[in-house]
Amino acid sequence: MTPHLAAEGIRKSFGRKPVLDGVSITVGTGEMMALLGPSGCGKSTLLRIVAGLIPKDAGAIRIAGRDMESVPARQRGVGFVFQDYALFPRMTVRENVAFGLRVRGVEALERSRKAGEILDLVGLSEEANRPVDRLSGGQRQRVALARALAMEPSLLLLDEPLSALDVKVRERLRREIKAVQKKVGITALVVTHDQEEAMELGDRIAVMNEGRIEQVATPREVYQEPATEFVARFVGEVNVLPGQMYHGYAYSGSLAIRMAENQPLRDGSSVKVILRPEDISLHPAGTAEAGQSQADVGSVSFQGTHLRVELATEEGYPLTALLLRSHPMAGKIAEGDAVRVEALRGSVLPDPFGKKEPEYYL
Amino acid sequence: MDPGRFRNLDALVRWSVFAAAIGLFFLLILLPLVSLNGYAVREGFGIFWSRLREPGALGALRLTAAVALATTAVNSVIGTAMAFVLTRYRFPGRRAINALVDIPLAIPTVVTGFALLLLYGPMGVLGKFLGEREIQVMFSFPGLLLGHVFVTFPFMVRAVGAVLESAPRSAEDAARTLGAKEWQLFFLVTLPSIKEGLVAGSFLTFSRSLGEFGASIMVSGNLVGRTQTAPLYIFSRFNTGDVEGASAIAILLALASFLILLLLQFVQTGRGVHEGIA
Repeated sequence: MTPHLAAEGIRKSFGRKPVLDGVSITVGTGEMMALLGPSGCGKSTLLRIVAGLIPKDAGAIRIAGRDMESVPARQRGVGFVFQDYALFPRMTVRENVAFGLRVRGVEALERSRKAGEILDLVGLSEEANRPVDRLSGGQRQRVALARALAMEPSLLLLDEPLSALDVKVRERLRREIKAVQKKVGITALVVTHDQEEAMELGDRIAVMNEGRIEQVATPREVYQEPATEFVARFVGEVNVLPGQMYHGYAYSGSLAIRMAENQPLRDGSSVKVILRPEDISLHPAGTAEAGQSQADVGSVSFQGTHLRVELATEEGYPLTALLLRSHPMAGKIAEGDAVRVEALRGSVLPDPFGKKEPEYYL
Repeated sequence: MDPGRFRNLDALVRWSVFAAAIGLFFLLILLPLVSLNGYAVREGFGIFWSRLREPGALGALRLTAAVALATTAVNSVIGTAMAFVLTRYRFPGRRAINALVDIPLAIPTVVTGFALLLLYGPMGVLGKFLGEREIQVMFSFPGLLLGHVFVTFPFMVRAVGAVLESAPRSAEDAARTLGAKEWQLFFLVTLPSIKEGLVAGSFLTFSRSLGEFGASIMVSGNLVGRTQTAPLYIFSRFNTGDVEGASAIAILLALASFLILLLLQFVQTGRGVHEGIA
């Protein structure tokens, strides 16, 4: 994939507060990249810098290979969907969508035809002549998307496009946005703090924290092989245990997690073991098989599709497990039980500050 | 009144406050206005009309309207610009300037007029400079305009500023990303969004200018038929004992202010209803 958008070493401070600390990111042609991070991590600032709405302190933005240094926002050919939609009040849906064509001097008939085409695409043809103040939140969101697409930009930027909507509408529109983006084939960068949204929308996800990019990878990689502890904790729920590498396994106490063949950590090196709660399986107490650990059940709560079990391992570490309702243990497990714990899958991060265990322990 | 209601002290207090507020409103605000109406037509409408046709009377009304219109026009532009700068720009001293905008409301208008006279009058620095170039500011229309623009300055700034403050700026950013040039942005996006502030500010400025007295009397020279505005006319007539003549103009001035107030209410509630539906 050739990169359509390239941001290189972007720095930005507001006053003395650094917001972006040398951020680099590339988005391939036709790709949708999700920029995921907690509020205040600088993701919206990066988006605005790409659009040319605010100046950067350092770095370079290239769109379709062209340096944007001296190109003002109105000439960047970038569609922007704002968090609050930023629709023009007192204008109809059609007038909003046709605005970009109007200020470019496209004649009225052509404007109207083009706007109609885009409104068809987002399913708003019926509302074309209604004032935007009379629309529901979901409809406004679609007007904002249509307006951004009407002038056929080469790059679409979306700033928390769904955060103002309630859950049901949000999930439906998420799919619609993705479908429209693929249909138009436009390169897109979407900012969100919602990991579910990032996973569904993003072909790849860039996870940001405190003005830096922590990891850029597919949703599956971000979830299964987080590059940093921040990513592990921010995307989904996670158990982080201290451990050590030995013969292709990571051990945390007697709990063993099999590693991929190509993992580069040497035997004996300290690691943080990253265990997703759903990757833990429980068995009735008894003789532990190799790689399993004993644990006590602290609490069990029913959460619909699964049971949430809080455990304490024999080494004293807290551990959260999620058992599907259909799991053989799901019906019998209760507070105070002793169980065996098995790690089905996990990943590790090097832990330079980890305690060096004596060799004989292994 | 049911005396049983007064067993409750709270009810008594509430009723007293109500009675005092409404009673004082009648006594202090409405009664003088009623007496004005009474006096103007006491001698019959014939006298009223003849007083209006006296030399200087209609001229004073015309001048007042002209000054008020010009003042509103000038402040629409510089007041809006000021509101913009105060809400959209960040610069050292912004808060100080923001506080200073309201000074015309605090300073006695006579002092304002006096200050302008000292600056633009025959002995003033600017007055001398302009006088050498045959431009006379004081005792003429421009002087009145200067005084009125000064006195009414805060109204437009505050009315437009309040709307700008609450209007989301993202609409302007959206227009930028859609390719709008700065002037298109202003006329297509910003101006429509501050229209309500402009209307409210214009009404306030206009009605305040209609009744302006203190600054006017200092800067105008009170020249009958040339720089005498309606309030000055009323004062002069009353001073010479022509109470009917003063009343005739006074009632027209009061009527004009009342109409403007009604219009403003109409415009604002009209907007409120619209927003209620949306």
